[in-house]
Amino acid sequence: MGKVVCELCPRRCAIPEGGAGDCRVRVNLDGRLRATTYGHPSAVHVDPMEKKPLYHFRPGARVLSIGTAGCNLHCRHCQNWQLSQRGGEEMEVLYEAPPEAVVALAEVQGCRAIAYTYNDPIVFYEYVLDTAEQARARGLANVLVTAGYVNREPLRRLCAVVDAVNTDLKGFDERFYRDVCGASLKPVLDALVTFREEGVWQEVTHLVIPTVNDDLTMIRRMARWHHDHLGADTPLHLSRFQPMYRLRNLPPTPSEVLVRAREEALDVGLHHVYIGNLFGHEAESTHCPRDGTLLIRRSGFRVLENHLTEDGRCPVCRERIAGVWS
Amino acid sequence: MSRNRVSPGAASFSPTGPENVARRRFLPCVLLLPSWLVAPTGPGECAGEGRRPQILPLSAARLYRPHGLSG
Repeated sequence: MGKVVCELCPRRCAIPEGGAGDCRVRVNLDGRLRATTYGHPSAVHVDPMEKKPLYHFRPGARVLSIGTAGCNLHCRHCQNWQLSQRGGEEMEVLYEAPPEAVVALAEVQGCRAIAYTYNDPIVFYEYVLDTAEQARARGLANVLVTAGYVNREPLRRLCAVVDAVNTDLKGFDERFYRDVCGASLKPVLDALVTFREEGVWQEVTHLVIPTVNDDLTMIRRMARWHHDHLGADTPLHLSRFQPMYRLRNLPPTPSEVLVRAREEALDVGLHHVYIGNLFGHEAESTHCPRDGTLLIRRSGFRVLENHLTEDGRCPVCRERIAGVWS
Repeated sequence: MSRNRVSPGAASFSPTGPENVARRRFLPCVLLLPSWLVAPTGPGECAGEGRRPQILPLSAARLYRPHGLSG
């Protein structure tokens, strides 16, 4: 039997018979490439939409969130490494969850969306596609939380069934992606642009890790790229790092670093820059970019107040606020 | 151990088709990829030994938990 090449992500793993790709879950069985976690999530939870984080997409909605084993990145700071850095056979639990069962559970739980998250959903691509198609047919939205390390052709196909995405932009130089994530930056930037081109509602997260990717000059360059390629209205979440996995030697991100990073991003013209994982901070809330009116007040993934008009405008100046609000 | 190989469980892979493989393996369901994702190249090999995860019905999932970090 020959090798097969998985063309899903930029790694293009050439997988020998009986072997797995770098993600551990896409395998060569009998000379054919197979996705072993299809229908078998290892994490299934009901979360608020704000936890993804998506702040401009159906605020306060409940979202059934699923994740499997495996990942095509190997981030040293991964907060879900027990899932992402294992193959399916290494998990303690796999759920029996074909697409129709996931959709049915979402409906029973009163969820308005299904999120493909925790590990990178790119590695359970076919499961996402099939579940998302059925979810959409039942009126549910589909949400991706991804690092965007995927080839353009399969990504475009996925975009057809995805309504919103939170894409991690983990750093802004190739060395960071290579040394910390075992990946590369350019395909991620391409994916960010592709999501925009395909009309998927997108928000971007940058996890600010002390001494690793917290340089304000870098963050300013990243924010300028974000402004120029994704637009000023695409929200940016600057999230606080907590010591995890192989970066337990580093401290949590000081709040003043997050505040200064946010100032840089606002200064280059981004309209919506949030601070994440710093619960109770005022930068969790949404303000009108024109007149500063408080529009949505949040705390710890909870929506406490929502003053947007039904058609998604500032109630004072009538500015239309970018997002999917209904 | 090479990261490019299935580690535990791979020894039970055999050329008997997806249904038979599924009965013996931890996953009862596998999916063929679209052909445009697959390109044969050359000979390969397999290695490894396994352990089995528990397979539970979806109804056993703990859906609600204290919310931690975003994601």
